[in-house]
Amino acid sequence: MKTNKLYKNIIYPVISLGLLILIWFVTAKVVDIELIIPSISATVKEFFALLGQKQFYSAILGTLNRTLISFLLAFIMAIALAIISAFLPFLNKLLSPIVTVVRAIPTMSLILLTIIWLNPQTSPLLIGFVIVFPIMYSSFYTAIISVDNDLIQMSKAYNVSKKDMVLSLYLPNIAPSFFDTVRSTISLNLKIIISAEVLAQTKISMGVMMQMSKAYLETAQLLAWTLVAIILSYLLEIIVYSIKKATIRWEK
Amino acid sequence: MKLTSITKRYDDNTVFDNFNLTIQDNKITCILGKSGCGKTTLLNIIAHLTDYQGKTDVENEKISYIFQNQRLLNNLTVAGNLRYVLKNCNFSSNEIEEKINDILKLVKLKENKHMYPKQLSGGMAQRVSLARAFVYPSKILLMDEPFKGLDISLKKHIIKIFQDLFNNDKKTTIFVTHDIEEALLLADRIIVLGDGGIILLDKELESRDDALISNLRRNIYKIM
Repeated sequence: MKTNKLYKNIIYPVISLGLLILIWFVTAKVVDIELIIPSISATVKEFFALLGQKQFYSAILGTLNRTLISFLLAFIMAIALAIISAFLPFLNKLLSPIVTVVRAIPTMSLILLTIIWLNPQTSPLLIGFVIVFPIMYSSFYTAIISVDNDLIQMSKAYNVSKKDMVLSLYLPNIAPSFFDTVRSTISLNLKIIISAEVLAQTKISMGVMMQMSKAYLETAQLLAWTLVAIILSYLLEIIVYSIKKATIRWEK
Repeated sequence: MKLTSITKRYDDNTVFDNFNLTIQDNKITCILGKSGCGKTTLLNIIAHLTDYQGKTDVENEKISYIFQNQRLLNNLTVAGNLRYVLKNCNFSSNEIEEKINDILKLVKLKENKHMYPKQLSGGMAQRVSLARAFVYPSKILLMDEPFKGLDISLKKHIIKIFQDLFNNDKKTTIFVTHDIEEALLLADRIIVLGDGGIILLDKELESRDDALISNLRRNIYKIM
């Protein structure tokens, strides 16, 4: 068991990361034009150079701020509507077609439309919300209605109070899929917000910094910003995963 | 316990039509019958888990229910699962803990109090389910094939624990099964249900006399 975990958690990720770095290294060597494929060393150098800039931190804070606000709005609305829909099935019938249509909208056209409708500061918020809300709503709704009917029947037979059913049956049963959804949508939201910032030219944002790197043909810097986005996304997922592990003790 | 003029339909299928039954208090009444004859539906009617027409005199009674699958909450420990059904019973926290410790001692699970259901064997989980039914302050116990799927030695062990618990707290018990031997072993009264809720046999077991049991066994096999 321990060997399996060692392979799953350490050896395989290290090998796959090593492969990626190797592909990057070989491609950079073959192409041999820093402007197109910067070398690993140049990118790492740019990465550390970014760490010394004040702008770097304010851009990250700006993007994280937008990511968390739009995520929280979508989260609160998705969980509220999923709970109401579970008890009022007509609401789900009403929402399902809307959710399907919204999910089918190409992200790029949504970004372009909201840029027309809103200002550069607020449009990423709406875009992030519109992209992650349907995913969260569908997932939360499915989790709630999938709570084991046998356990609901058992609770009713033993006359368990509604409060105890919510706290001990419903919430713990939806928690695993709830955390998994939050984990995947929070990093998706970060990516969407950055894309929206690029196109909307949002002030004090990672998106605009990336756009500037591209405009000045600073490809190594652009890659360094990409590295930052990957690290941030990974950190957000780790935070959610840690909360899940600390909360859901019975799955160990 | 009295069930009066019970009618239950699923779409076009009438499971009970004006069904009447009186169950003796503090005895084990065993309901035998083929699959689909309405055994589980009868228990669900008594537990108010399904809608029906007619009357029962247990509408405000607390009821314990042992299911075929244990129906334990995986997120709660053994003690947590027992606490879950006791919270709404007007006991103080100390009383709840005392009752939990006492019942776990009876089902020999005191050492496993803090384990989660996924860490238990099938037999242990079924013992928790028995403990939950007997720790709950009810006068009525419903059992829906609780020994089904257990191997012979485990079944013997669980039945012994059930008998100990029952002798300690004699609840009015309705035990649904398709296993004639289980019924002959545990029942004070055996009822064989036919299709449409017709009672094909209703026999009280005044004694465990071998000849009487064999005769009854023959009769039940003939009917079923």
